[in-house]
Amino acid sequence: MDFTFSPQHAALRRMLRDFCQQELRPRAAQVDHTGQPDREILRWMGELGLFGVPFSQEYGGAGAGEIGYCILMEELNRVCPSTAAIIGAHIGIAAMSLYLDGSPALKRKYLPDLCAGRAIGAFGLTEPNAGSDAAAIQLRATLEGDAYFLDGQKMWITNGPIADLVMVLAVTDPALGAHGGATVFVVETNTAGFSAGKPEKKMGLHGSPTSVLNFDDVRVPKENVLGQVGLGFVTFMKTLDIGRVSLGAATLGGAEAALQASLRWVKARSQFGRPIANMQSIQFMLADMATEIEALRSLVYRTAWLVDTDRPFVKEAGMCKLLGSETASRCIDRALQIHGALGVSREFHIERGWRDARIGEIFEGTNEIQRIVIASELLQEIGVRIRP
Amino acid sequence: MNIVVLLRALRDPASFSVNRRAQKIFVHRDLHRLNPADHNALEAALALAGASAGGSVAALACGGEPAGEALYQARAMGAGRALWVKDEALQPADGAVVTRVVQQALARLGGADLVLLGADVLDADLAQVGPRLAAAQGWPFVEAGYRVRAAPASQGRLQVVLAKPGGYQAVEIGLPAVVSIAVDSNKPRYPSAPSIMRAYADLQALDVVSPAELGLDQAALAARVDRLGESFPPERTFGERLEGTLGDVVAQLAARLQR
Ligand SMILES: Cc1cc2nc3c(=O)[nH]c(=O)nc-3n(C[C@H](O)[C@H](O)[C@H](O)COP(=O)(O)OP(=O)(O)OC[C@H]3O[C@@H](n4cnc5c(N)ncnc54)[C@H](O)[C@@H]3O)c2cc1C
Repeated sequence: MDFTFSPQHAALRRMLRDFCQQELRPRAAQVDHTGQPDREILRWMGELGLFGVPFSQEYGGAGAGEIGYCILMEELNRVCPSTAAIIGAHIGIAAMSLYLDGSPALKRKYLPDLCAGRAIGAFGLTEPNAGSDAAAIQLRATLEGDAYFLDGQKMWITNGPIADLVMVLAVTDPALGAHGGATVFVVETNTAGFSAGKPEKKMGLHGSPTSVLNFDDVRVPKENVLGQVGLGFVTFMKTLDIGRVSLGAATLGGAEAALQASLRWVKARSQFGRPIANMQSIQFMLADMATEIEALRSLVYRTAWLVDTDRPFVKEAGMCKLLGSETASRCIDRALQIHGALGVSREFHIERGWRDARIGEIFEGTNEIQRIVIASELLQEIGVRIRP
Repeated sequence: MNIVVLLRALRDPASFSVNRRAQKIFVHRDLHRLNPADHNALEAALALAGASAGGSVAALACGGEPAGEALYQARAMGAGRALWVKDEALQPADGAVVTRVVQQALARLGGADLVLLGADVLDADLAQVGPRLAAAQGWPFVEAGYRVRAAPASQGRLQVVLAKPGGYQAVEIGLPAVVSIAVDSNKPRYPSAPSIMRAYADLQALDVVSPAELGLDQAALAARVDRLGESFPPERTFGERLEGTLGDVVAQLAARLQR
């Protein structure tokens, strides 16, 4: 067994740590206050190849694999969860679905722009009547001649208002429904009939715009079918499986930031004549945080290694998202408690971290859905098949 | 213009702590990074080469694995070549030895029009290699350059801007030359993620040689300086707090300033 990172992954982390601490951290509060993504830093990140970290260099990616991508998400989320959410939706689910199942021609057409950050991607699955029950989607795609026409609505789509390309799951055969009758399309957002709604007002991730997407007879050429007609649901579920690993890595970064802030504060703050680090109840919180973080780190990077070495990883990926989001929520909640009144101050970053972390338990499959995924994998191992 | 930049890796200040009472350094993690001023020298070299047609940058480092890491970083940032004089013992070697190694390495690199290096080193800070190398080669030396660029008027010369108290001074020198670069004089570029991955995937990214391959024998590598130990001065105590009414405090302050 070898738990060390390869020299190139260590070098990648060094660069990311420097970039995030020096360039991204100073802008994180502003991004949250204004609710505006920082276009300048996104452009810079594109130039540094951060929009295509896991993908092969053949398509303009960095070729750093799932491990490299997890390092990116961990470092981003440590300082600016809003920016991490933008990149997570862009790479982890939008570009990833194209990378996994797109034809070489479609990949050549769109991946280089996605990897360079010249085009921002979004992943359109959720609809007003299809949340956890993703198979209940209704957005219709009808074939007329050499193009499909899309009609319907998507909801809660990260990057919706800023996306250039949206991967959309639509029903192509209502008789079959999602299982066998749904198809993924790459939609250019400047196409007539497409519009994005106003950003939702969320408790956290203010700098990561999420919105409704409206499709009013949007024409999509046949060549923009991603993967096979009818098998789109499989593509999207596969994509979400992988996405859970990097989401776990992001939550790891959030939890680590909470612990680091706490360690600084317990040393600096004195009450009853001594630093609060001397109080056992504080020490126990620190010990619990550090222990959970260490467990999460092992799980996340081992699962990333499973992905990079083509081993089965679906059960572990669900665990990454489940353990990660709950660990991050617990850690930032303890950090808030440790900071006392400063913890709830809007002038300080703990409150922002607390708001940002909670969303991790909801999106990309609620934690209830993760438990279902993990249980169904477990039961399948003993020959029992379940349906949610 | 062929530019050679000398790099030195050192222990990351975040990876150890100094216990003055125990007079000891405690290393928590085996973490190294590029000496900050060398990082600025590398950026200056890349910018200068980028601005001149046919400019090239070769990075040079001697020592163990951390030196190799520094060179990968240089390749990822855009240095066209990297030469690693690989020898664990060279890490703490003194200025005289390093100068000899660099002279031989320059020959291996096919000479240089300009050698850049950091003006100071975080750990030892003896600032010897620059002037020693210049003296040994018979080249001019400028210390702590803030900006370097091709001299605007005269061909084949270099303009170096130095930060002076209250202003800047520009000097012009002929080439070849050695110029040390002031820390924080520029903002080093970040290597892109693809270029990091490419540098490590390239088996020829670094030219690795031993001191022996450069024609240096044990005698040439023998340190001139003996290291006897380390000593840490006590922590500076905090300033004094003046108490009393405003008038008292002002009077006390004035009395102290007069002393
Ligand atoms: C900030 C943000 C960004 C998002 N970004 C995207 C995006 O980019 N693309 C996209 O397609 N979607 C996105 N979503 C949508 C997200 O994936 C859904 O919100 C999520 O899947 C849950 O769906 P829902 O909100 O409709 O909740 P519901 O499905 O209505 O669930 C309500 C509650 O019921 C529980 N529940 C539902 N079914 C079961 C079951 N079978 N067993 C047990 N409990 C169950 C849930 O766990 C939850 O607690 C985003 C959401 C948010 C908040």
